[in-house]
Amino acid sequence: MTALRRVPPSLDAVLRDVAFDHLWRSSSVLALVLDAQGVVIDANARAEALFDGPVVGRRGVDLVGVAGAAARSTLAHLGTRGGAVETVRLTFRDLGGATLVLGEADAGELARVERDLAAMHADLQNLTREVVRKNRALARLGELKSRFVGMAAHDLRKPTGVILGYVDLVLDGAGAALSDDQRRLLGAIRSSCSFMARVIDDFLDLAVIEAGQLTLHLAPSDPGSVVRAGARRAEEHARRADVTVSLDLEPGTARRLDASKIEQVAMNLVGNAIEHSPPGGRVVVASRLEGAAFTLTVSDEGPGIDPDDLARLFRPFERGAHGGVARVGSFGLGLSISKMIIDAHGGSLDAASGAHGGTVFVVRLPGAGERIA
Amino acid sequence: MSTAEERRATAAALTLHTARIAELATDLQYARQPEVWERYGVRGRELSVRDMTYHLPFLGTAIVADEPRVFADYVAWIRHLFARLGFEDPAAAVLLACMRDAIAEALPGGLGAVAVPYIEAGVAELAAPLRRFASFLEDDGHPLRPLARLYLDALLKNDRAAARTLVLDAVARGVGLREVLLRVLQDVQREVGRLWFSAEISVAREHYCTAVTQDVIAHLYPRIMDTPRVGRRIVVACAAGESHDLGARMVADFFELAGWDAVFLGRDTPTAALAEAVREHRPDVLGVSANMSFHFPAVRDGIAAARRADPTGRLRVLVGGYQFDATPGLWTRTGADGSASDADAAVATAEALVAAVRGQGVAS
Ligand code: B12
Ligand SMILES: Nc1ncnc2c1ncn2[C@@H]1O[C@H](COP(=O)(O)OP(=O)(O)O)[C@@H](O)[C@H]1O
Ligand SMILES: [Mg+2]
Repeated sequence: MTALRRVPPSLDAVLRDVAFDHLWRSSSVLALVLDAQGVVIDANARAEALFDGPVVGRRGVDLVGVAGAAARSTLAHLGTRGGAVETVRLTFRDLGGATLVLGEADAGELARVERDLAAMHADLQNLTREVVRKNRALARLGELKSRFVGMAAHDLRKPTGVILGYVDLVLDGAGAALSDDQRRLLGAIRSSCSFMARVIDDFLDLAVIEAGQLTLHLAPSDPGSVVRAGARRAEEHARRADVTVSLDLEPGTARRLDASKIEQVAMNLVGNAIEHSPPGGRVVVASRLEGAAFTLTVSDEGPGIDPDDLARLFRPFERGAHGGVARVGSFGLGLSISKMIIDAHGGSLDAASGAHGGTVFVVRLPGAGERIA
Repeated sequence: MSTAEERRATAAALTLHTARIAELATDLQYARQPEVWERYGVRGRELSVRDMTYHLPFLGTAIVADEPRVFADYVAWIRHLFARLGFEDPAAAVLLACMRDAIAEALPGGLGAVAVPYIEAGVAELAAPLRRFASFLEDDGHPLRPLARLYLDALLKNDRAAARTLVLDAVARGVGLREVLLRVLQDVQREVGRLWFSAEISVAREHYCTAVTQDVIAHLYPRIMDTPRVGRRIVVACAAGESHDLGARMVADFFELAGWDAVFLGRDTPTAALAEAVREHRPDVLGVSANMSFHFPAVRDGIAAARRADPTGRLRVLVGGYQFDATPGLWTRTGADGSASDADAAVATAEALVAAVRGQGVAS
């Protein structure tokens, strides 16, 4: 028996009684008494609370997971139903024919861990704040950029139109007075200027779409004739590139769509197909009605598109590698704008390439009353 | 009256000799009041020495800041703590006398005398009526009091989901963000501190409450960060050694709500990092936060370093935190341009400062 060195002998017995009473009734230390077979013959209140009910008669090893013989002192993870798992250090004390099992948590360790976890949590919350703040800053920058591009494009559009107009005027009106050289130079100005006008329009479209301000002017139109108009706008381009464009358009039923936007899509797709066709190649523009849905395909005999590139090419400013050399005058906006226009119509725009080249772009527009608002 | 030079030297000597003073003072305590202290045994003596090392830095701050109230306020707090532990005021009075005598013995060249008026302020506090540390959630008619109580109840019941829902729902119903942050989250945190200090809740429970409150605020960030920008920037940081960051972060958040760009550097920001942040972010205002009086020197040094990092001389500095709320006017000793006792007032003070001519201090 441990001698109580400071307590006068007269208090010895009562101290032991009170200390035991505390251990048995209110302490957070777990206490089990096991018989020689390892069966619980007594337990304190903490044990009953931890194991959720009477424990006398159960096997100690079933409760704490270790048999006393194996270890004099070990950690054990004790869980209650629906509670948190508690780690306690178990100590086995020989009572002579019986064993006292004591289990207590390391409060010092818990406090140190709590403190550090709390500090880490605070730091993590500060990082979260920083992430949200930076995200907002990026979003604001994005808006600023779109607005800038939109404003710049808007301001460039007018002077470009003026230049084009005057060049046409000179070419048409003063025709006879011009030398061949002058005519050739004016032609070059004209084609550069109309390229500029197209780029400016694309930037403007993109700015409008990114600002979430794309509005469709819906009116009943026949999609077949709209596509025909778009393809016609690429005629001059086809002639110069020595590419034949064949139209195979089934007359469709009128549906609500933004005719000028769909025409723009058709022109973009046909323009791309011509651009990627070999001299003497053929581009087929076909439309079908499948039930109420309208389907347009634009096929070419060009090099095709690597499947790995496909998804990417529908995003703004993404261009194909073209053997490592980006083409002059390619901004990578046509497909992304086309896709956003088709999406806004509730339709889909996809592409597929054959193993030996050739690309098919497929536009699907839902039937009348389906999803067009 | 002592000179600033003497006060500085005394505070420095106190820091240097803390361990020795604590031992000496405890010896004196045991010699003078054996009946009070002997019963605590060897461990009790160790704790007495440790507590003495806690008291001394507060005295040090009172001395460098030349602000006796810093020590008086601390004594008022300790007195409350002592009362709870069953010590009477006379025991505290003996403790202060022992502290004074130990300092006189340990400090060289009569520096101990410099400390005396500040210790006397503490002794005087013992004679004053016991300060009341009232609940922060007492019914004051504020419409959000009931919500604050429900929120605290949920925290004490381990129900963080309910706690979060209470707050987020209130915000969704249109209760103002500022009101919720101050009158619910801040006041509940202060109440949690009072409950901890009154030994009604554990340290673990305080950590839990704080963590849930931080989490709730994080859920409000998408709203907090949504104000159009006004083109002003503030950097907010906790002084070196300071680990209370929730109040400082709330200050930063109120600046975001007011359209400022508010960079928050977090707890325990070393002086060099503070200066670096001023160089990097070029803020209009720097906010330095420190709850604990013993971080006063770190606040002052941080501000001095920040000013050196601002060649334009246009940087305005605000300080705040528990010690500055507890001891009004203490902020004027830090080298700051202003102070405020909560996040709302912090924004108002900063806006007045940047609008005003440099050199004018503004407090609210
Ligand atoms: C949570 C807490 C902790 C946590 C902090 C975790 C974290 N990530 O923040 C931990 C566990 C780390 C902690 C530690 C300690 N704490 Co503590 N803690 C608190 C508690 C309960 C809440 C703090 C809080 O979140 N408040 C909510 C915020 C929103 O309110 P606020 O802090 O008042 O902030 C507002 C204003 O002060 C002001 N403001 C703040 N900063 C700035 C800056 C500027 C520039 C401006 C203009 C304004 C401004 O605007 C804020 C928003 O409105 C307070 C109680 C209290 N009254 O605040 C105790 C409290 C501050 N702690 C106290 C103590 C004693 C300690 C310890 C010494 C305990 C110990 N023995 O370890 C340590 C010291 C740690 C250290 N070295 O810094 C005591 C201080 C008493 C005193 N006399 O000094 C308090 C008051 C508890 C009490 N009632 O006794 N604590
Ligand atoms: N018919 C096609 N055949 C092969 N590649 C194509 C075809 N259409 C588009 N692409 C690829 O997709 C890219 C993006 O097209 P687009 O968005 O119209 O931009 P741009 O034509 O300005 O490059 C092109 O750069 C090209 O690599
Ligand atoms: Mg293209």
